[in-house]
Amino acid sequence: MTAADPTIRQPSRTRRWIVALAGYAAIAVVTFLFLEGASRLLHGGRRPMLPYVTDAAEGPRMPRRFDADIQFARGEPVRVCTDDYGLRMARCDEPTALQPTVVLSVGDSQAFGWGLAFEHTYAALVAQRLGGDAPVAVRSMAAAGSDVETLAAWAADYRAQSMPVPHALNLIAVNIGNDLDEMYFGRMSARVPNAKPLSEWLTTHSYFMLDFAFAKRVLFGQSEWQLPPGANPVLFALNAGERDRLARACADAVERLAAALPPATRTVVLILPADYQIAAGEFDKYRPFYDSPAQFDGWRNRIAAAASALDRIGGQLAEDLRARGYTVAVPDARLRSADPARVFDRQSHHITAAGQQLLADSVFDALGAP
Amino acid sequence: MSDVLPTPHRSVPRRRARGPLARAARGLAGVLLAVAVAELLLRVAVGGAHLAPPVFRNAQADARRYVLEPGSQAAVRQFGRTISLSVAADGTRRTPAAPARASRIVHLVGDSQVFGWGLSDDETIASRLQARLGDTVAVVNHGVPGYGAEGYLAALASIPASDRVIVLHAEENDGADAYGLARNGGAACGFLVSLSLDAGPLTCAGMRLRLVELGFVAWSAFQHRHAMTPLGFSAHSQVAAAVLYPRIADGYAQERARRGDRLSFSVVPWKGRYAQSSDDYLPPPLPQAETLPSPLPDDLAMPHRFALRADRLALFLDGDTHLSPAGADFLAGVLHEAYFRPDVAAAVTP
Repeated sequence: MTAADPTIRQPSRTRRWIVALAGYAAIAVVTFLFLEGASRLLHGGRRPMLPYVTDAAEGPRMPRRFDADIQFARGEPVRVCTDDYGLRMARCDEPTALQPTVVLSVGDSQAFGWGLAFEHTYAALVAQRLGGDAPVAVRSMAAAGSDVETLAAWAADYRAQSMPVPHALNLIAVNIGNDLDEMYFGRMSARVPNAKPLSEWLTTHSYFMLDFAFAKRVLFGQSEWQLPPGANPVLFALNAGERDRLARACADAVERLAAALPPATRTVVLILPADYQIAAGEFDKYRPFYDSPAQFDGWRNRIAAAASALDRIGGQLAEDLRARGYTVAVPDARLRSADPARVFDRQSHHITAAGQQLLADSVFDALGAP
Repeated sequence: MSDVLPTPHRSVPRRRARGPLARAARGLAGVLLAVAVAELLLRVAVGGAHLAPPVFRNAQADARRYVLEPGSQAAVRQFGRTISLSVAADGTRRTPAAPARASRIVHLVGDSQVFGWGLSDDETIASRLQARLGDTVAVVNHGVPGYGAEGYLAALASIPASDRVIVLHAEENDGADAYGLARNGGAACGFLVSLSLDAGPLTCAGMRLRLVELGFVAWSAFQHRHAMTPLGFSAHSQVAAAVLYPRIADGYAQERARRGDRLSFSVVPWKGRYAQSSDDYLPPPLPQAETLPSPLPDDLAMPHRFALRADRLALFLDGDTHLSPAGADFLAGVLHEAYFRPDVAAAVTP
């Protein structure tokens, strides 16, 4: 052992703290970069899910000028790109700046075309038939987790920037299997995300953060207020009179959304049913997502009553909207005529390419087109 | 000076205990000492007052509910001043000037606004109304912080049908309370807590440390740094509002039939109506929030009456959404003007 040389000046305690902190920060950055690299390698350069960003009122939107290959839970990777307003574009080589739009589709993940290339969405199929041989400009104002009430702010922002040329068609999707619960239960509490700009930057740019979010959900389960997969507790939280009020209030929300959108020659409201409304057996695919068999069975036993209540609400909504002058498309009959396994994703409520074709057909039914 | 020799033991370095356990013990002792000093200083600074009201207990009959602890009292430091808070033997907040025996009774039902969160016993709406009514009528304060329409109905059930009742809804949160879901929290060691806590004597001793109380208050302030815009006051909550507010109004059908015009309704307006800032509330309030009629049962157009006051923001506590002493007094004046003048007896006993 050698004694410390008293002539050598020792670093101050503050300096040692700063050096230690810098060291820890460097380790954290290197670790994150390593994990990020590992995630990218693991996914082969394809993002494992869509980013999740929200507006000032916490309404979900798609990030602006987003362009990436997304590997959804099933199927081939899908390229998703958005314009300067977060609207999903038909072709990723289009300019992202504002373009004259002929068909504007508005809605949640069903309108987005979850897991599908844009050309397979009902919005693209409708635009294709409207245009015939000439391509028609079509964009989707759609994000997972949105509903007809939260979309109004996005619509108003877009309208403020849009061109003074009316769209040929505004196509509003009301996904009653999701929107009703979101508009009722989703307003119970306000959650301000911590470090929102950072978390949204990470969700848009980092693959590891998406893996981390997924792993957290698998390891720690759903948060307290997450709705039971595939089920609609709002139907049982309200009595019959309140469900009637809910239908009327939903029609009011559609009307506010329609008024917030850029003007259009025609507006069609597409009322999307829950999958179990079309085929009760569809609910069985949600079994793996429940914590216990008893919990699943508790909801499974209510599916017939839930389907009946949703049928009534959907009918009231359609009738109310028609009375207000809207063209309403109800695709239930077309969906029921097909094999449910072909029109619904086997792990979620999302509608497949074949189902999207049926939705497009029902829109044309409503439009009275040949 | 040169003949002063250093004492022998000063030149010998003191042996200090070494090893991780000794260092940990020294560290722990240091922390405990620092906590004790901080606790002492804090108690001196607040004059021994609590930093949150310790007057609650869980209801014996219903584990989902909490009530005021009969006979409890405390000095509480809130919003920059020390208030006195006491609970009467019947479990309602005391109205000091209320006569022990009165031929007529007026009951005020509500949540923390009626309770008088941040107000002394003699500053609550009930006390200010009592001051106007004199000693022929007793005003009873049934306000309990955190209660909603479900709790108000329970209070109404315990009040004789012949008595005069005024239900004062809080625009701030009664809409959300109407979801009617089970509360996660309750009372522990006298305090309202957001977690279910089965507290023993040691936990209670810890919770009564002013430092711990300060921690709870700071954590609560952090959690509520963005207040939630009440249902119906933002574009995002119109659908939920269209279902829940009629649910509240419908809930009083039986009581309305039973009590007739001995039952009245009004509201304590939401402060955000008059002080909108998108930074303070989420989702952002509607631009016309100030002029909206109350979505809750309100016989007196109370928000409009507040809006007419040039000093309307002074009717609320600075840094909080509860009524200030001036606000409670103003609201009591409106109630008195509307229901108890010119002939108190006729108004109280229709």
